Amino acid sequence: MEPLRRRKQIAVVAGAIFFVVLVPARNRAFGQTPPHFYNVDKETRIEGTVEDILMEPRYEARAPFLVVILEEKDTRRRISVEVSPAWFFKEDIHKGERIKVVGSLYGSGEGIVNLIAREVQCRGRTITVRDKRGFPTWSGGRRIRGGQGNGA
Amino acid sequence: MKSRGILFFFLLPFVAVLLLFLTLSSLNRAYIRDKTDQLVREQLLASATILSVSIKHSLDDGSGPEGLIARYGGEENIYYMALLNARDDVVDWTSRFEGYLPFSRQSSGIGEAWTIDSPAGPILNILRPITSKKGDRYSLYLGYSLSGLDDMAAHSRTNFFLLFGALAVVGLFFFFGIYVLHRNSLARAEEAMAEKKEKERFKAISGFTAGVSHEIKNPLNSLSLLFEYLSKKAPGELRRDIDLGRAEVQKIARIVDLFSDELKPLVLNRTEIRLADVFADVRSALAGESSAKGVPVLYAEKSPAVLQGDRGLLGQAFLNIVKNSLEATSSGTVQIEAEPSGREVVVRVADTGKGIAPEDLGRVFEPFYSTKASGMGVGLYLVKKIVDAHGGSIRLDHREGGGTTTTVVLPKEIP
Repeated sequence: MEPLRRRKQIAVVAGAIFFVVLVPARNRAFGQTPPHFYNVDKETRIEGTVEDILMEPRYEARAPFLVVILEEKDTRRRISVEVSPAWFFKEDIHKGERIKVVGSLYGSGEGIVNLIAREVQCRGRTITVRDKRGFPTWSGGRRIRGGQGNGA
Repeated sequence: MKSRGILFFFLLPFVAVLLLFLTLSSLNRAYIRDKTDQLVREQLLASATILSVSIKHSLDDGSGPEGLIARYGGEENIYYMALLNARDDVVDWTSRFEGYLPFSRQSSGIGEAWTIDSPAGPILNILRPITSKKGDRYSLYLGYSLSGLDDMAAHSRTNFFLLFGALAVVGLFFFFGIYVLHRNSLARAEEAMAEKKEKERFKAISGFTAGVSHEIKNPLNSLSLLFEYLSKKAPGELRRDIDLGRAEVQKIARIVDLFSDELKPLVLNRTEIRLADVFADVRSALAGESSAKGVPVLYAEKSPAVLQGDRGLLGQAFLNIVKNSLEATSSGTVQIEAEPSGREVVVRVADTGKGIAPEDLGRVFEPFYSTKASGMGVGLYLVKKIVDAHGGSIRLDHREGGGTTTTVVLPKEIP
């Protein structure tokens, strides 16, 4: 009976994990982050120091994105900046470096503010990753169309 | 009309037609573009209405707003789609481009449909209100791609410019061809005019010379008779001088006759001629002079050169040419070559003489023009007259290494 109880316990835990972790993730419709889009009404400019540089999957069936964790200069807030697909961003960014970002805020949680970048300024250079309405520069022009993405 | 005038006479209307075509075609394309744009917008608005009704039904059936968009999205020409709640917060959305949803509360108030430009082409934005059975108010926000219209317009523009370019090039070639034809025709007309003037001048000279000849010959005849009478009556010691004077008077009369004859229009007595026979006579006539100078006159033909013409006149013409060559040559040879070539016979007389100065080449066929101290300037003039009467051409060329080549081209049959 002991192994049977143990198997039941494992099944319950697995079920709990499925409902707690995977189902909400599915409900987020493949988004590895909470639903987010470039909201032009929430555009802001921040300046901070690079704390960490990450590569994270952000959109369904898309290459991992470069995500920079910043500590804002004035407020000391921690901000997660979604820059662009890692392959697209050719500039070197190092920890401890001070950068400026123009982007759209899309929510916060766990002590961190999220931002989708439109322009990144580092070492005197400005790298534009989206146009003023948030169209991703890496998606190319009219002849290059992205596949089906799901932002929600 | 001058050549330049004709160019503008044809070219300017053509350019005007091209500009008219350009203007009308541009207006027509703009009209079609507007109409197509209008039709597409109407179709997309209808499509958005259908979508909003479907979503309303789903909401009425108890579905939550989350996840609805994924159910209805996926159409290829929809770039993005979102469901907004009553506070215009995005409840659910999808986009073909990562994070791209250009909804703004500032732009959404401008009407139910508006167009924005994007790197992926123009996008038609539509905002449709939805009210569920429970009274919850939503808005469906859609972004339809209009790049197909842009592609169509670009395609139409490319085709138009290709057609316009082809028309312009073909037209320019056509009118340039007309211009060249006209220019050539003008040049021929000028040549004909010059020829006519030359004939008139010749006629005037001919008339004048005939008159002078007549006036000179009458006293010369009297003088000749007088000398004859004096010769019979004069003592023996004077008779020799009187005969000499009579001979000189007769010489003057012959010269006058020569002028008169050469200025008369030629009447051809056509027969079939073998040039070998003609040049045999020429060589025979010049045999004495040729052997005295030690300059042989040689004749060669690759195949029998036979043509139609006046044997006497052509014989005289070739005699003059060969005689001139022989007189100009102190050593070497005078080489004659006759060669049938298609419908023509080409005769070349090449000597190794002193040649002709370039400034004289253009004038040697003029009447009374001679480079020889004793020449009267009628020999080559007569040659040209005979060759022209046979429908042929004559040319003199300076030879490399000295000497002159006279080339006569005669048709086998006189036109």
